[in-house]
Amino acid sequence: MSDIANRLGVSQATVSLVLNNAPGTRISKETRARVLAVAEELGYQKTRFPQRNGQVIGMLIDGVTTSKHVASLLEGVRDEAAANGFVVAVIQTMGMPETELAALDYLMARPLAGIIYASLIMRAVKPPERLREIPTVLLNCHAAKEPYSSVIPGDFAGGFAATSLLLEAGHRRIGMMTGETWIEASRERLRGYSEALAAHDIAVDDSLVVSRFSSAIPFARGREGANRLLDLPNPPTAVFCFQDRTAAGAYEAAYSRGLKVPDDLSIVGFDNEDFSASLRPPLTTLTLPHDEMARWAVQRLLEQPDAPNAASNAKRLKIECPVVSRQSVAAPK
Amino acid sequence: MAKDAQSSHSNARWRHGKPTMTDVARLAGVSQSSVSLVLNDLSGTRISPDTRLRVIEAARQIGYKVPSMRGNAATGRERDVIAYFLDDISTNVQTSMVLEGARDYAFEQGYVLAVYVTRSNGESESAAIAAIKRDRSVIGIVYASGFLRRVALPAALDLPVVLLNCYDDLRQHVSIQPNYISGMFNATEHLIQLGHQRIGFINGEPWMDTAADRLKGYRQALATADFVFDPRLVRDGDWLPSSGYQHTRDLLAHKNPPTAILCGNDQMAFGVLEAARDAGLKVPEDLSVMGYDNQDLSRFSRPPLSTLAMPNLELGQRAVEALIDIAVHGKQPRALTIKIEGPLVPRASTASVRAMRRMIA
Repeated sequence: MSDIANRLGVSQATVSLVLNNAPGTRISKETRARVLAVAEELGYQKTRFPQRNGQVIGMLIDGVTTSKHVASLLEGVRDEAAANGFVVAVIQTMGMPETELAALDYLMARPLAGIIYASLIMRAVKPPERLREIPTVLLNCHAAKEPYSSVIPGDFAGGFAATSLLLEAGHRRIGMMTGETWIEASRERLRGYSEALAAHDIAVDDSLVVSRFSSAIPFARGREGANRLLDLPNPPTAVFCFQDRTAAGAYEAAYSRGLKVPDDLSIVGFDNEDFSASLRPPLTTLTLPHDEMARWAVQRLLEQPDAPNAASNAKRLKIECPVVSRQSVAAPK
Repeated sequence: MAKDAQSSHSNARWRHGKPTMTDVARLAGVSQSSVSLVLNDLSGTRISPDTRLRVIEAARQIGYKVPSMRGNAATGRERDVIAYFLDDISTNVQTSMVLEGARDYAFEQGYVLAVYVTRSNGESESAAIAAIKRDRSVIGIVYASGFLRRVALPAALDLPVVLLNCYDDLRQHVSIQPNYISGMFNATEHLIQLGHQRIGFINGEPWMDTAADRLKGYRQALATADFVFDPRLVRDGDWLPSSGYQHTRDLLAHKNPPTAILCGNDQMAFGVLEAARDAGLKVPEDLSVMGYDNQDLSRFSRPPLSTLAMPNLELGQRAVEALIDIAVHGKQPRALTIKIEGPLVPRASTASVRAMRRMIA
């Protein structure tokens, strides 16, 4: 559908409405005809998935807020489920135990293939006991003592890869701006940063790691942190940022001082948000593998182990965050 | 049926379905054909009374019942043929092993397999389909491929279909496949658990699905162990020993060479062993080597090769099982794509990094 939408320059929603013949929509006859013509030209075939014994996959997630990442978690689960003939019922629980139990009451009264228990922000969780009665996979969260398979991003390896990229470009003084310290991903990426430096026999210089900020807004943190780093008597030539939004703040700090990215300061972000390709210069960053994680979680759920949720069957997987090389990294001057 | 045996304690090992003739043969320590001769009470065979007793005892112990008990003569059942489409029977040994798994399981369930080798040729397939349609005893089709790939199914198959070692884009049918992702994950994890941190990977031809899946499994295992994927340690081979040989020379020339080399198949691993020998390296003292697919020869290499087995017999069995479930019992399997893992076969070509150091010292 996205191929058709791109070709015509209309939204995917429009394409979907036309191809699914949705009633009560206000799409002009002309657009309708164009969509149908391109669909035929591209050989689009509406996929008909057989329904699976009336079962659904339940998905509990703490929240969905404004982060775009959650979209790929939800869509990955939806697509892999659909490919296996299931629909997904998503319930937001705010992570509150009472809400979770109410959600499980609701879902477990129906034919249920299993539960994807997901978190918006990667963290350790304590899922409700009741989940033991039903096949369950943890998505973007983990629970060491629980018998469930889980999948999270490889944040440590991501931090290591980001820092190695800067080291290989020739940088030796590399700053890091962390996320909020309670965020596990931030601690893991910082650990990756430290280990990558160690692998190059460079000791971590605490003055180069900024983890306390006066603002909670990522963009403001990036601006503040970069200013602090650049004010140092011996400032870094490169900085690794916990997230793209922080990196965007660092861009602004650099430009307001008349510094050029990457000539005077190399910057690496994390998350590969949509805007990161549009920054000037386009930001080198890492992608969160949410789609692959979500698909893995559904596949694991449907694999039908002999003893669902047996601790011995639990697989605890991390999936790497691939580097997206753009133009914000250069050799130091 | 063998339901009553399911509760017996000794049967707990047969978790993946009912015990098979192969299980009986293994337990009795005799060939499968001996088991078949005894349990089917075939006349004119020269089986010693002792063997006969052992087989019957083994069958009783694990609750195996001869399928012919509910055979056609008794029920007058007419639909007892499964059509098995195969693109090419000589692609590799695994193809015939998978077929054997299907045949054995079908036989145990009271079905015969009619095999059509079509080379995926349209005319050949059409002819086979026409033949099947004339034959009302066919319950459905197992559509198999010699290697995992996407297929375009012939039109107008109005019988139940189960795909084996292949899949179609529309995902209309159940597909049984080997799990190359978790297989290579387990192989890589084996080396990581032995303490290896730099693991070279000689993969197969990159255009093949199975190679892409193997790479995915390798990368997932690295990420799970907090290792950074280093593309310089990965080479695209061509499944043949010569490419294992060449790429090993190349990997060993690296300034920080790997301590272990993992291959997409056993053949390439044989090439690695040879390259190590030519470089004056001992396996596993200086280099751990691991294959994938557990070919017959892998037991006899020097040293015997650690590898990962393909679940060939189980693939065939699960395909027939799914087809019977769908066609006869009207029961859909839980997932449309069922991926099956094979077990790790650790032999002498892999050692822990610590043991390597000790052996060197």
